[in-house]
This record gives sequence, C-alpha cells and structure tokens, in this order.
Amino acid sequence: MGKIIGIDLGTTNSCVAVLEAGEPVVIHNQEGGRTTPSMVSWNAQGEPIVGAAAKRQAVTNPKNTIFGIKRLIGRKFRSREVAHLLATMPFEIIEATNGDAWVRIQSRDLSAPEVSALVLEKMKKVAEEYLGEEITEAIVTVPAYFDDVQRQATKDAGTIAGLKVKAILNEPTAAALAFGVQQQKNQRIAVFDLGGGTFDVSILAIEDGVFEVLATSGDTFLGGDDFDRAIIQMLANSFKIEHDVDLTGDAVALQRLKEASERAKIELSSSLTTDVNLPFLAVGPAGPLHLAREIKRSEVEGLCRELLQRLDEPCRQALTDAKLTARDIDQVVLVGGMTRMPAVQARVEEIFGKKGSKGVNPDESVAVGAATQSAIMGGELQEVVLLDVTPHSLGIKVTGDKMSVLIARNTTIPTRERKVFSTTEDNQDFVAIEVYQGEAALASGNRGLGRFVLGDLPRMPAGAVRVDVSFTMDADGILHVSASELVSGKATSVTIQAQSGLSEKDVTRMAEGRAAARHGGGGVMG
Amino acid sequence: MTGASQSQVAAQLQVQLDKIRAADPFRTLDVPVQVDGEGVRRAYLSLTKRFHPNRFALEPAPTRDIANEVFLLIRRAYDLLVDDDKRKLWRERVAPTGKLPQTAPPAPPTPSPMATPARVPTVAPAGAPASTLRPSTAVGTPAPGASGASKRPTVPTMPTVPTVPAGARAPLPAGARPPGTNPPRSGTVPGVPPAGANPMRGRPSPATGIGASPQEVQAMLDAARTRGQRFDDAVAMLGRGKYREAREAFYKIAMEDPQSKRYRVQLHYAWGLEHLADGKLPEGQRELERALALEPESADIKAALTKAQEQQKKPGGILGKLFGR
Repeated sequence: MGKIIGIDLGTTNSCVAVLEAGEPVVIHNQEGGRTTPSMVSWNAQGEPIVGAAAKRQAVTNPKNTIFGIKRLIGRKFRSREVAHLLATMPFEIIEATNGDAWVRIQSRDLSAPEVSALVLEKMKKVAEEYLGEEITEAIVTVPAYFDDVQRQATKDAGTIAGLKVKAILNEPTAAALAFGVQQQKNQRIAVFDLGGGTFDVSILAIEDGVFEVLATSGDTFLGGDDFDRAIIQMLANSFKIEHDVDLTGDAVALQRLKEASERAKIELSSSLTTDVNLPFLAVGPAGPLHLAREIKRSEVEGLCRELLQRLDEPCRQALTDAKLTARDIDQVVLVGGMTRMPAVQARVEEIFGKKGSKGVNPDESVAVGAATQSAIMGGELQEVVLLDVTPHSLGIKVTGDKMSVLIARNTTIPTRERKVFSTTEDNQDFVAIEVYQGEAALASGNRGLGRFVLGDLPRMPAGAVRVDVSFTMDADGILHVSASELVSGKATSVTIQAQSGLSEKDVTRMAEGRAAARHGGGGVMG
Repeated sequence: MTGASQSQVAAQLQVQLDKIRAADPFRTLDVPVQVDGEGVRRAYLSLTKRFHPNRFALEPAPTRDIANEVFLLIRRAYDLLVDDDKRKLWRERVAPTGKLPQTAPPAPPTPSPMATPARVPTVAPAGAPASTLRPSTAVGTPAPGASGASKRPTVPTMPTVPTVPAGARAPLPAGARPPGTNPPRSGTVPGVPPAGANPMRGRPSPATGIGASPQEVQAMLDAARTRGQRFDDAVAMLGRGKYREAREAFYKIAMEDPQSKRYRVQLHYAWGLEHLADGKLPEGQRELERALALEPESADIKAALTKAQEQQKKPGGILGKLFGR
C-alpha cells in the first residue's frame, strides 16, 4: 500500500505533507518552496503550468492565469459571492449550462473542479518527486464551513487529478490535530483560520487523545484576497483621481496592482510603512504614467476595518454553539497567512481575551494535520482520534416552504436522527422528500441537496398517513436519507450524493484525460 | 487495522454491535450504574478511540457500516448518561431503588424519538374531494391555454437528470428501531410508480434520477418523450370535451413528474371541467380555482371559472333550489 499524502488545497497557496518514520513532514517543491501558489496558467501550446511558474508569468498573461479558484468551486454563477468576483478577476468567469460558475481560458471552458485538479496534480507531483514513488491516495482539506456541494466538488477535483480521496478533512480540525498532538495535554482550544479566501473558527476539546469539535462557524467568502482587494481599490481610485485613468479595465495593470498590494500587505505586518512602485503602469495623454507612493499600516487597517469587524460574528457564534465563553478557551491557534497581520491578531486578542498562539506554522499546520489524520486512518497513530461535526443544519422542506431540521448544525458525526411527518391531503398518494442544508427558516433559502419521492401511500384522510424520515450522516460526511410509511411499511431510501454539478461520467472522462496527459509526458509543468 | 484480517475485524465489530444493541446505556458504555458525569465522559472517550469509524477507514464498506452503527449506539448512550438528570432517570430504570422518576424516562437507546408530526408538501392529490391546495416545491413552465387549439404545447421541460453512479449504493444498515415499526426496506433507488403500477422500489426517480444507471436514465428520457406525446393527446381530448379521460391522463402524467406545475394546472383544469359537466358546481369551482392559483394568467381558466360562477347564481342552481327563486 502506498503512502497517503495530506494536501492543504488553499485559495492562495497549497501545501503537501506526508508521514515519514511516524512524523508528519512538509514536502518542499523543486524550487525549495514549502508552499506552492494555487495558480494555474496555460502556455501557447495549451499545456498547464501550475505553481510559482504560473505566478511569475501572471502579469504578462492575466487573462489565462487562474487564481483563487477555491472561491468558485461548488458555487453557482448567479450567487452573490460570484457576482462580487466578476468585476475584479482578470480572467473570464462564465455560467455553465447547469448554472455552475466556470472559467473560460483560451476559448476553452473549464469547470472549477478541473482547475483545482491541476493544482492537486501539481502537489501530487511534488510529493512523488520527493518520495520517489507513485502516489494515488490523499486526504484533502476544505474549510469547515464548506457545504456538501463544495465538498463533493473538491472530491471530484481529486478524482480528476488521479487521486483517491480517502477523506475530506476540515482545515481547522486538521490544524488542531497538528497543534494538539504536539502539545499532548488536555485543553480547550479555538482554531482561528483566516486564509486567502475563507475564514473558519472551530472550538475543540482535546481530552485523552480525543479531539472533539464542539462547534464551528465561519465565512466562506472572507480572506486575504479581500484585504488585497481593498488595497487595490484604494490604489486604483487614487490613480484615477490623480491621472484620470481607470485601471480597472486594464487586465495587466490590475494584475500588477494585485501583486503589489499583496506584497505591501505582507510587508506592513512587520513594518509601519512601505512603498509601492509601479513604473509604466498606464499610458496617459502626455505619455507613460507611473505609480509610486507610500502606504502606511494605519491606512490599510482603516481600509480593512469592515473586513476586520466581520471576524467577530463567527467567533461569537461558535462560542455560543459550544456553550462556552472566551474565558473557557485555553489557547487560540492561529492558522493561515493572514493571521500574521497585526490588526487581525489584535482582533483575536479582543475577542478571546488572550493572544493567539503561534506554536504551529500558520502556513503548514493544515497539511501537517492532514498527514497526521492519514496516520490515524492507517492505524499508525492509535492514541488519537478526531470527532468532527457537520457545520450546517440538514432537514427537509415542509408545508409553507419551511425548513424542518433533522440534524442540527454542530452535531457530532456520525449521527442519525428521525422525524415523523404526515400528509396534508386526503388520500394523498405520495410525499416528496426534499433535502436542504443551511440555517434559513425557509427551505428555499438553503442549499438543495437532493429530492426523492415515497409513493403508493395508503388512501387515508389528511394527517392520518405517517411517514418516518431518517437522516444518517456517516463519518465521511455522506448523508443517507430514508423514508417509510409506518402502517404499510412501504419504504425507500437514497444516498444523497451532493450534486457538485459534474456528473460521474464527466469526472471519469476528465480523470482519464489527465491520466493520458500524464502518461504522454504532458503532466502539469512548473 | 494493521495485523488483523478484514473479516476478523468485521466479526469483532459485529459482536460488539450485537452486544450493545440490546443493552442499556450503562452496559453500552461499560460503566457501573453509580457512575458520575466524569466517569461517563472517560468511558465515552475511551470507547471513541477504539470504535470511531475513522479507525476502520481502510476497511471495506460493509465493515465501515457496522462500525458506524456501533459508534452511533455508543454516542446515543453517552448523550443519555452525560446529563445528570437523564442519568438519574436511567439509573432508576435499570436498578430501581423504589424512588420513582419525577418525569417520564427518556427514550430507549434507539435513534431519535418520534417528534411531533409536521406536514409535508404534496403534489396533486389522488382523486380526492376538494381540500385546500398545498403549494408544491416545483417551479414549472407556465402551462399553455387548455384549449390546445392554437398554441402548440412545448416539449415538457425535463428536470435535469444528471447521470449518476451506476449500480446501487449499499442499503442502510439496520439499526435499532422504535418498537412497532417495520425496518424500512431500503430499495436501492427511489422512484415514482408509473400509473397503476406497484411499489416504487426499483424505479429511479424521474425528478432527480438519483440512483439510476445510464440505461435507466435513457429509459426515463424515452418515457419523457412519450409523456410529451401523451400530454398533447390529453390536451386534445380536453378540447374535444372528453373531460374524464383527459383528467385521468393528466393525473398519470403529473404523477410521473410531480415537480412540473404545467401538468398539475392541466389536471386541475380538466378536473374542474369534468365536475362542471357532471353538475358538481362547487367541486368544479374549487378545481378551477386551484388551476388558476397555479396559472393566474390563463384566460381559459378564468373564462371557465366565470362561467361556473354564473351558473352558480342562475335560477335552478343550488341557490335557486334553496331559495325557491
């Protein structure tokens, strides 16, 4: 049996780790980087380039360089979040026939899982080059707040990349594992994970080797990219005022601004001021225009004030759901590059009443945790086990478009719940069981996961026919739903495999395509 | 689990499952009846480390299913005993000391107790006397006018049928159930019976196609095509005044695709006309009102409804009979 690698598939950067002699080890890529940018580009021959090489040529090839694909995966084009991205991404985002958000590159349309698959393929390659053996199995991490559709899409990405995804692991839980196994003591921790595109906060109890998630909350659309965008917007605006030139229509200028903003943001974590220098950024009536100015840390913090405030609510929600106060938390574990920002650390201290612990590397702990989980699953690590929860409520739709919850959010999985429902009409022949995920009171405000029908009901007056609906979520996060009519015993069941938008046929076809490309010597480059 | 053969692991798990399925929560967690909250937690954590399904992640699916069941029962027992009050009640139940519990004992260690029944939305009722319409979840294309004369109905919109994994998923593992109910016979796929057919087990759902193989999906698509033809035929029948036949046809079609508003509009419209033709004015009106509620813009339905209302008021109608006008 080959090794199972742990992959942190991040919005901005990805990381891969593996167990070596019982210890999780982060694998560096060919250039010596311990993380790899989650960027994909295509050269003139149509071959994919992934990682630092893609990032380097992003400025000269902005329309054909994809970054932040994690923000699109599992989402519909007509969603509020994607609408935000349309204006600011230099590459083209389109609506697929099934409503999903896809990208258009060199007149080819690609689904989000396909693009993520290329990043996973790159991480697979990094691991194989280091280990000298073929890798076919991996544990891939996702934000804890991802819904079932987003998780399935991530799994599909793994399949397309030629990886059997043994588990989809929540990022804060993975980080907690990396942190807690190292510390080896009973405690309650909060994991504060602010990455490139998503924010998760999880509260865990670590006791006798059992890592029990008590509650998790977050925002799948809040991350470092948003902080960058605030800076980009400010620079573009001030440029417009000074030179009366609108940079937002210029893909190359936007890309340069993006890189400069990201660099400035990182710089300002350790300095109070920094310079932004972009010569020949645009052309005006009188000739070339340059951008050269100073940015202060205080200025950036002002721009990001609203973003920083958005960090509060998920933390409070998680504490409430865990039935704890900030004082009950022993340590706050910081995960994700953005937690290096002093303003973010200050918010953490304000919310939890204590400074965040920097005991684990915020860029690597998730991958380390994923590799640790592979040890638990493989049996090498016996003293530790993870008890995770389902982050969103699950239920069915009842009269009046109401959501009737069967499994409440933050319920430990695996779990089973059942409820009895009745018919609303006399002699009603069948009931439609529609499964939804989310916290909205109206079912249509939540994410639809699937639907089936229980028919051939006995002819009885309204309300007399009782249908027992049972939800079982297993440890892998897969939901099984069954419904049975209590008198006649008629029953049916279905396994809800969240439709990620790609059919199984599509995924198989794409996987075979990538496998053929790899064998033909045309795997991902970079 | 490294070292043990797969069947050994499955057998060990099965033994554990059988043991705790019939046991009270104390025996499930392997704690004395006098245990305190701390002890319950300790026992639960230790059992979790041994029996959490992740321990069996590399085992084949049937073994993992047994592991899931075992853990569900352990978790249930923990939930019942970790709370001080519930634990006291259970202690009385298992080892009575003569002190009766103050409140009703909590449910036995089975999956969640039955909650108060709620209502489930439905699609067209079957041949029922009128009752209030429950709006359904479906959003269908607007139905063409029932006359069927000038407007050619478009091909009925098929809900997207994604191709889905060929072959059935493993049926639900049998768990403990409340006494008096049958274990749900897990059919491998959900389904809607074609008109007049038997149990739905074995038929893929036309709505979602979940659980259907590619061949079954193709069969569903074929059925949808003939459904379109049958729909056209039914509309034609309606135009010719054959209300009952049209209604029965629409009913079958609506049953096949409960999501489509279009079919149900036609069904209620046809039903309304049928009732009116039989002289059942109130029932006819009700059906037409339902049809109108689904399709407020339809001139045909409005016309029929107006006519029905006028008939109601004419002498010789019900009012006429009551008031001798």
